[in-house]
Amino acid sequence: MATGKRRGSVAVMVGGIVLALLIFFGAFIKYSSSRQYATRRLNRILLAREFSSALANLACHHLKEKEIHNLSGKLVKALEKPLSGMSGSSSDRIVFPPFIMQLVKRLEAANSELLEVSWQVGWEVRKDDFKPITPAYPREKIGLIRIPVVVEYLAPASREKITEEYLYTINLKVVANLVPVLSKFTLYVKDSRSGENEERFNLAVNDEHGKLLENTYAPWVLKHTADSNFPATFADIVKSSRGLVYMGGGRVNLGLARGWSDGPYGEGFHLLGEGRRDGFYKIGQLGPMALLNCETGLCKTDLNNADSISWYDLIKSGYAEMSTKASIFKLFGSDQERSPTLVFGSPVARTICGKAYRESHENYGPLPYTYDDGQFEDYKTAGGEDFDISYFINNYADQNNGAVLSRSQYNREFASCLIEVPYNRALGYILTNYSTAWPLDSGRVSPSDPLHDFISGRALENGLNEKIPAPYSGIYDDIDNLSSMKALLDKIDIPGRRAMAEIVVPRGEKFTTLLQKRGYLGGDKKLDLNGWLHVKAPEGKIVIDESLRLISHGGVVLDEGNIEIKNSVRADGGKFLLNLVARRGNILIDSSVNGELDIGLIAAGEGSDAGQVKFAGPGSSSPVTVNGNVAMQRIAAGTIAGSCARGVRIDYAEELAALPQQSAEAGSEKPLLMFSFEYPRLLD
Amino acid sequence: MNNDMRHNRGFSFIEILFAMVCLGILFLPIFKMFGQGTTGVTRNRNEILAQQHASNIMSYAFFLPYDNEFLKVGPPVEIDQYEGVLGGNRFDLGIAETQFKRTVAVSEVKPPGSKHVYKIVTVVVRWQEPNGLNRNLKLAGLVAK
Repeated sequence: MATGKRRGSVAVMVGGIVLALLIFFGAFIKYSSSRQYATRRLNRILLAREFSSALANLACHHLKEKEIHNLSGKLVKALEKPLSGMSGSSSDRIVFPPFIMQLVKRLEAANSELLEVSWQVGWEVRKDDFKPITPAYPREKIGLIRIPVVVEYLAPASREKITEEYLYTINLKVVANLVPVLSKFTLYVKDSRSGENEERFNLAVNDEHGKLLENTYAPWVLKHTADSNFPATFADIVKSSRGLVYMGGGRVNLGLARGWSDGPYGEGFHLLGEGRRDGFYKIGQLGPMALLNCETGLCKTDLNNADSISWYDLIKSGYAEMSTKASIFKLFGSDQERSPTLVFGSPVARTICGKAYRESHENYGPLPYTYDDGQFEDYKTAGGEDFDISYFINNYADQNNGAVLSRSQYNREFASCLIEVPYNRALGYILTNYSTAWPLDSGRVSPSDPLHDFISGRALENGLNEKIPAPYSGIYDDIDNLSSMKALLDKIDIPGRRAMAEIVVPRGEKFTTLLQKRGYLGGDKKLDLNGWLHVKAPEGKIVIDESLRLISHGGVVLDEGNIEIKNSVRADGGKFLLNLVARRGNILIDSSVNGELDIGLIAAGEGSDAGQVKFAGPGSSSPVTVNGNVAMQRIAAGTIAGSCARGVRIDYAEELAALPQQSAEAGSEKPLLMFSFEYPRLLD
Repeated sequence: MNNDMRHNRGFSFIEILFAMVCLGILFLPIFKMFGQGTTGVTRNRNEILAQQHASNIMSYAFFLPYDNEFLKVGPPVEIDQYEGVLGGNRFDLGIAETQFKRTVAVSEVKPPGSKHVYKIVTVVVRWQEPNGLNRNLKLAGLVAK
């Protein structure tokens, strides 16, 4: 064996150990650097995420305040379609206005560790993200808008660009600013009698031209549409954009004001010959004599005015008092602005019915009402003081084997009187342009059409006057009666899927202040609800005492209490409407409110002091115009002087007549759509 | 046999001493580098903690009403120990690690064309590394009225 032979070398061992350590150290350094990079990267992600969240919030505000108000914009176009007609996906890039860009620049500066940051924000609407709210209105839907945010910045300690993509979503409701069925009515009064007699609304005193002679009570004048054409079928009337009228709760007699000329409140156009002068039409025959009727409206009689006393003389002995006052409700508008529609419920129109006989050019004459036997005897005598009905009486005897006509039979069967006719009878004259005394015989309206029943007065016996007309009858399977106001309001799904939010007005706080705090009302008093707000008011009322300018549609449903309107509510830059619903309370329009209000008013509730829309102020006040509609549960007994005396013009907002199940744009709920947004959420 | 063993002996004392000296000299920079690696880990940990502290404050700020005292506009305010209250629930937003200092600055922006008012909330967390290096982390977010 060789001596001095080594089994290992110190240098080799040391080298090995060092090498191993170096390898281990290298791995450690690499791990450590990766950790460090990851931590910094995490930091940047945190910053980018915060930045993206800010951008998503700004995007949400931008969509709410700008894009959604651009009714011809891509976003509105994507959202306003019926759910079935929506495209699979619609998207666009969001371009912030300069004042928002300045804010973003400040944010970029605050997040200075995001080096060379750039970003992009957009929106996307996908059909699959939506579901319907109610089948009746196919454009109403609930879903979300996607907000993709892309943030790009330099990686830590490198020139590498890092791109982060975030997806935010904003919950969205698209609902129509209407209360199904009730919004179809220009005026809806569930209980128009409230225990009082059927004459309760005959309070307006006008002259023969329909001009008010007294200003204790001023009329409610309704305008249902701007369309001057009146359809000749029931279905076409209901499907048109005109408002309807419902006055339920039992029969009310509504006196028609005489319209000897086109006076401001005259209603001569309800009658043959437009209720002016010679509108005689034959109603029967008595031997060689034709029996004639002629109807005219009511007015306070001026004995020194021939036009005024005309026809009055014929009935003064029996109906002088009843003939002086007309109804405060002008349901078809006035002679100056005629606006016929269908009236449901049980109102009838009252007129003077002057009667006469005519045998030849020589033998004709009026048949006046007779007050007592003395007067009757006087009239029967040839050359009587006021009237001479001797020829008629003699002829009656001739035709009835010498029978003597008694005064009571004469008054009942032949004498002039006041008559009540179906309120919708006027539609027959209007449809035939007053060319025939018997419009229903003209063939203009088919006998099988329900309109025929409404004109003839058979709607009542057939029960049509209380039924919700098609297609509105299809909105709710279990409600078919027009008087079901509570059931209709219970179905509006507010609170529920159609509500945008619920707010509680704290005691001592003004409603408008709360709206301002919640961001619905701007400092410039522009109201931007764009949805249905469900409101609770422990104080028992909410008050609108500031002049509001509507920049979008909006609805307020107050659970319990009154809604008081003490200032104007007007649309600003569009045909917007504020729908106010008091579910258990009244709506009070203060006497200080003048001019026009762009509002829909619905008041319901049990009890005598609830469910009424009240217009405070005397008839001498300047009238207020409601551009919308009015629906109420009752006009309570004893309240007409305090709540109806002020003249009101209700100019129906035709958009409210949106047809249910209307896929086509025309006649649909599209013009009433509201878009309410929630806040963006990051989709993890 | 004895002769073989004598000739095939292990390392001499001198050799071992030499080797240890060599290893010692070589290990010195290596251990120093390990120390630096450990410092890096500590820095990572501190940075993560700082992010957490900033994020906590930012999340809290988002849930507060716009006019809450915490979001009062003003210069940076130091917030070390803080008990947050949200919906009646109290929770600790304090910092357990003493080396961290945290400030919150709030500025308000009223864009002229917008009905919204915004607050930019900037949270800065400062701390000192074991090696004496001062570090900070800044996080900025937006709160809308």
